[in-house]
Amino acid sequence: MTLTDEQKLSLFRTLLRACRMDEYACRCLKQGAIKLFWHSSAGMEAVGVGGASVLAPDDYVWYHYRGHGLSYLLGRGGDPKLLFAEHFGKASGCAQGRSGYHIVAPEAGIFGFFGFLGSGLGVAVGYGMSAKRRGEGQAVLCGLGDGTATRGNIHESLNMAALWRLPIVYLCENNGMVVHTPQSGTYAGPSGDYRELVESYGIPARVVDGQDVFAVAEAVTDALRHARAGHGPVFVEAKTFRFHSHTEGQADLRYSAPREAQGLDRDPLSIARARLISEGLLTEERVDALEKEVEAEIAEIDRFSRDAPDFVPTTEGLLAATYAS
Amino acid sequence: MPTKNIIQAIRDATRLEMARDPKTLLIGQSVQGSLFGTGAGLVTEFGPERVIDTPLAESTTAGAAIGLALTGYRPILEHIASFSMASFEELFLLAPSWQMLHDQAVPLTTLLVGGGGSGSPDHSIVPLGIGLQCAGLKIVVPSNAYDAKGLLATAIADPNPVLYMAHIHTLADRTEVPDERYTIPFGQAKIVRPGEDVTVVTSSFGVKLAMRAAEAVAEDISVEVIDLRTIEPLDLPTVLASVTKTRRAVVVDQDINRGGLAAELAAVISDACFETLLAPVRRIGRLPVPVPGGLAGDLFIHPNVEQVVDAIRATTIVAAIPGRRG
Repeated sequence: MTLTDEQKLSLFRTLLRACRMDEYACRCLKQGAIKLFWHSSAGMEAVGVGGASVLAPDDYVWYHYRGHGLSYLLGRGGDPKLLFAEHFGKASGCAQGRSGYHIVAPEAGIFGFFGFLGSGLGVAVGYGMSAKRRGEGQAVLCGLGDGTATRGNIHESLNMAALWRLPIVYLCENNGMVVHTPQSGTYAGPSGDYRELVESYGIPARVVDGQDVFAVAEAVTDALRHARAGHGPVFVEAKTFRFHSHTEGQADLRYSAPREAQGLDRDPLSIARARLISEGLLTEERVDALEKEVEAEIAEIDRFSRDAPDFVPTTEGLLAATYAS
Repeated sequence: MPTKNIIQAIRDATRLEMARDPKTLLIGQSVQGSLFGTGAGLVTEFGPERVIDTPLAESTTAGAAIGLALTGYRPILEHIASFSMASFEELFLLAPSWQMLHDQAVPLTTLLVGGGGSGSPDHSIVPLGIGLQCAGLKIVVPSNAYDAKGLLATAIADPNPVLYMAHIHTLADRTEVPDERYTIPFGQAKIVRPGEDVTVVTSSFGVKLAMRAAEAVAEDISVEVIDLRTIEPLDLPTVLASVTKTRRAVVVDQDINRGGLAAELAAVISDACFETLLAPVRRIGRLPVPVPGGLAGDLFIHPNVEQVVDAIRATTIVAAIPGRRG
């Protein structure tokens, strides 16, 4: 399928926001404004943005952890202020300050997160079962990484999704690095792709350039069409690069992989900008204007998040927050 | 009134909930054929879309149940009790934490059939202490069929994750159980035998042991037996009122004696009733060793009537301060 000009411009704008907000998050972590941690998705923003931007309003999302769901939230049209307020430990955060780094955005089909990578592959199966039995054409976007894809849950999840023809699009952000271990040291698949694993369940697998937001958007759009038509799940593997260390503020400790610029010449934002400029959809001036808009948006996020009252835990409050009534 | 056993009571409650709410689903391995009979025939009535056989994949099945619960459904996830450990992260970390972390309800009922017994840890875990330590997980332990039906209805209607366990040695006993739907609230213990001299607090299969022990000592000791019915929420007021009256307490748990319900209750009772207790609180639970398979489990490892009798007697043999005996 071909993206319309409007879609391309929208993707570029969302990608720009994702990239600049990840940079902002890295600054905030170093300043101590972000209380827990930040796992930067610098270099990988095009995957979540491309995938999440092409969903339908009532689709469900399980996001990949890197970037803490920022790209996915932005692709869904969600409000990044609430993500940052949450990271700042504010009561006005998307989880009232009680999670510290998870996204809760039900209107975007995001109902929470959990940091045991692989557990989301099960929850996504539940989302898929829910979508299928409701019969209203909903689909599920299930983000995961190349590390997640070696956990046992992948087998269970792919198997169940294929067995029951669940409308799930798996979006694997393969950056070739699992914390500090190269993917080649973790995965036995002969090609290095997850294709063989996925296709063994009869699930179509597609490999796409994760640095190209338009390619990701097209691949996920095609996959969603397949899933919504009742043909079952699809696995989109986006090859990408992690520009920063595993966790912001810690040195990049990768040991056995060569320490050259890992794909730094394939920055997703530059690729998207060059493409749209060459197609006449953008000019340098327009890009500058967009950068200024995003800068203003981030300033507003900053003001909102810093000014907001802290989440102050009390015993009574925490006891009350343990159970739903 | 008809008499039913716990299996039939569970099936009754499940069927009634599924009939009244099309969002209620039964999910697990071989639930269509119904290994224990807890869902016998339900697939014929409600269809395989609502009574769902899953592959052998506990972890992802439990995760899927959470996903369904988050998006408008009410899943009943059935496990042989021990095998719930194969989905530990989902049942004991994700589900109980979800409300605190995300303010999103997870109305998931995990139906554990057949905890306890002698099948070694792969068949005979009683995951109650573990459940207590999670926080955020309600825990229901019916001792009889009447309670089993009412408590399960409450569990399914509860917007929170509920762990519901029917101990293997309670499954066959029959009591009178009405055909219609009824609920029993959580956090309401029942005094199943009133007494004056010592309180035995217990649940699940421990109720039968306690009642037998109470009979055995009835000539010289008047034993009050409390059936907790739910251990989270726990009906502490009833327990403390009883111990304040009797001034002696024995706690009988089906789980390991160390670090679980028995230890927790003993500590809470000792704290609250320190001034009035005439003897230390006794606790009885499983020996703190992995459960061996074969009959060594039932005959030696798990609590038995003799232990309860001994504990009751031990609380009455006290160097009482003259004048303090009520």
